[in-house]
Amino acid sequence: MIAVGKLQLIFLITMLMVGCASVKLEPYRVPGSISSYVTIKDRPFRIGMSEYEKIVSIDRKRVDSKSRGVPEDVGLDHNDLKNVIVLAVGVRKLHIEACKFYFNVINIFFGSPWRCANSVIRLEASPGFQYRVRAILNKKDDYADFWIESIESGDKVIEPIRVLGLGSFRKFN
Amino acid sequence: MCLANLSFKLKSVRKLYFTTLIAYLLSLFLSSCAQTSRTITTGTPPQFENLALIASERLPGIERADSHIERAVEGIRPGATVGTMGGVVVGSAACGPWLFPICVLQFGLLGLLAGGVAGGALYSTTGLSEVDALYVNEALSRIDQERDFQQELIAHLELQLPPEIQSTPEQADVQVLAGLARINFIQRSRDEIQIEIFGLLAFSWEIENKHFATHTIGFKAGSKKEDIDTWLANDSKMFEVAIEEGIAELSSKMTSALLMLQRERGR
Repeated sequence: MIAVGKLQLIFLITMLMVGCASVKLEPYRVPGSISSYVTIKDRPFRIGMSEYEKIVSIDRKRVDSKSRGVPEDVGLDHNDLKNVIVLAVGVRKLHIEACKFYFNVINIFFGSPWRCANSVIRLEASPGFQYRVRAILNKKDDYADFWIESIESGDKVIEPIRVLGLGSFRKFN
Repeated sequence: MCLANLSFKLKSVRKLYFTTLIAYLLSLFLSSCAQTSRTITTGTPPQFENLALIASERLPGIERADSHIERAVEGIRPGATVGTMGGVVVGSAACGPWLFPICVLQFGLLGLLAGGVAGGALYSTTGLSEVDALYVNEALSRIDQERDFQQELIAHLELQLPPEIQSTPEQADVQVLAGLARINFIQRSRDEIQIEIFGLLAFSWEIENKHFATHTIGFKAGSKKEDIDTWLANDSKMFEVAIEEGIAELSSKMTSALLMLQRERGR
């Protein structure tokens, strides 16, 4: 009985320590009280995709599934509302991760077939805009380019930022 | 007979060839010796009446700060000093024909806020999270693009030093290259960081005909310790403020040192 109690205690402490170590960023929630807002769209990972670019965090707040979509009371009117993130107008910092799947037998068994790059981009979000995150990975020359464009015009609002050196996929907390 | 004659001629040609080659190499060596001025690094700083302040020019082609995130991460282990910015080698374009051999020092002032290096270095297993390192990196690379801290240091010095001791490089007793050498990130606890700014005064002066002496003095200024949340709040304004304050402190220390050396000459 005592031994089981000790084991339970050790388990609880371990879980607590693991929990403390892994949870760092608060989740990002669409600001409810904003009067002026913009939307930004990314391409988060889905099964079957060979490449994606997703917003990992906004202003050091973790983007999860609940961070996406537009609340009913916001009253936005455009076609694809499910996959957009609402931002408050002003300076926003977006942590973007871009990954591409490179098929290689050795990598599948002894590593990751995904090659990834991360960058934080500073966006001065202006009202009335709908933005889209874009990235291109180049395995041969070992770099990734990140930029942000306007969905309406397709123009780049942030010129490409180059990150040298592609790493392997890893989970950010 | 004919073969022996041919062999003799070949030997003569070979001898003539080697003699000419040696003479040519010797003349090259001598001419280079005559043109090269000698530089001696001395253990004592110079004393002078007037000086010329020199700034390293900003060179194009420095990579964006966030270029080295992944590579800089490798090999970094937790410790007191978790990251150093700077060390980007300055090209020879910073040296002009009128300069004393001070330009050979090339202590890598440019690209001081190569934030990628800092961002990567800040990330370690027990240090800042990789996400925070990326945000720090963004802040530093933006500051690096918007500000020219090297030039700001020179402007501070030019303002603080009395005009009568400032002269042109051609007429001054000593040339002084003033600059920021590097910025260190000091991690005091898990999420608390401090930055230390290092500056240098590199002196160069002619001791006799075409012989020059150099001497370098280092300076240090430190920011206050703050939590990473504070550093990154308000669009990471605190980094900019801390560097501004560090430069002001460095320039005050540099001015005092320069005035002290100048006064010693006057005694």
